[in-house]
Amino acid sequence: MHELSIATEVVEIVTASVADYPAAKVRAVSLLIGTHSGVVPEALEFCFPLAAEGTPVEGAALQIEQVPLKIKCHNCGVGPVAASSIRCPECGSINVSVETGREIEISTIDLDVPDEVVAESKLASGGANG
Amino acid sequence: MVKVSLEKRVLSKNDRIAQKIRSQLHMKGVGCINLIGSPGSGKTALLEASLPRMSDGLRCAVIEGDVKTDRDMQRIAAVGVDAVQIETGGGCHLDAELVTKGLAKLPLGKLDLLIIENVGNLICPVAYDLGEDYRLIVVSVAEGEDKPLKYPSAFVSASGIVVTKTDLSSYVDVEASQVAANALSLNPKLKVFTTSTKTGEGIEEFADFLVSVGKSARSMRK
Repeated sequence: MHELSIATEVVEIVTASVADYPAAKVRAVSLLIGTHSGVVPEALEFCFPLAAEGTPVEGAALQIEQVPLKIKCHNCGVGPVAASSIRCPECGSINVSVETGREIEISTIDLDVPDEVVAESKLASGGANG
Repeated sequence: MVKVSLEKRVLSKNDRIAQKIRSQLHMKGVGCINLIGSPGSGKTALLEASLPRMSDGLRCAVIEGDVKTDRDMQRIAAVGVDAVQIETGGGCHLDAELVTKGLAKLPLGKLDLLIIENVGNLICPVAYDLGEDYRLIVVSVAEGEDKPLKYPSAFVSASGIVVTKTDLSSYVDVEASQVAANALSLNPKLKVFTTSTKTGEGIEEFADFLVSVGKSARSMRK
């Protein structure tokens, strides 16, 4: 059940990144979770509200995008290509590197921010989309 | 609503500390192995059997991770090897910060090899880099031949597996080769050890591997 540690870490990172904007409200946190990261999305969803309680992240929705295992082959050059093991699905070589599938990443956060704060802050450059 | 791109690895703090441990160990010429396996897979027994057989004056220490008690530390100390116990008090895995605390109690300058025996668990420790050079998964034949397929993350992230308790094969109808084949189907690069602390099968070979890791780290000492 290391998902509680992961959830706590997510909440700490998001809290730190919105610390300069106390007026902002965190509406959603989006994660990329690799299918071979060892993290169970359901367990993380269960832990997240507990970890967020009493923090600026409390009440935020958690959105998890699962990332499949993809490898790149250094023998035949194929990839990144979906694979079920660390072996090239084309030529069978084991001289491959794992490109995706082990992610435990925060991709984006959705914030409700008063307009004047957006105008003055660097948040706008982070990809405001209304 | 504003969408802010963070693109931040959740375990970046752990990874940073792990990288620090790795450089520190490399500087001092200490090889590091992270042993991961289920409770009762035979991690401590494997060390008890193989550590005394390491030749060439190799200097080794063990960090033991458990939820509770220092029993494993006592077992390792009883075979004459320095050991430090980390009690997580409920935590299901070791992280790099805990390992740093353990390292503070060890004479790193006098070591060639550090073995970290993780908390018994085949899932949670996988996500946490501890600064190791080799990650070995310990799995006993008694757990069944399908464990690599059911818990693939551990085997995908590892550099080797140690199949233990082969003396039980005929009782549980599982051969070490079946466990190994399933693990290799996920990760063909895995180095495979097959051991029994009862019959002594494969213990010499595993001890030789430990020596080679320590020696190669020693030769890189800066």
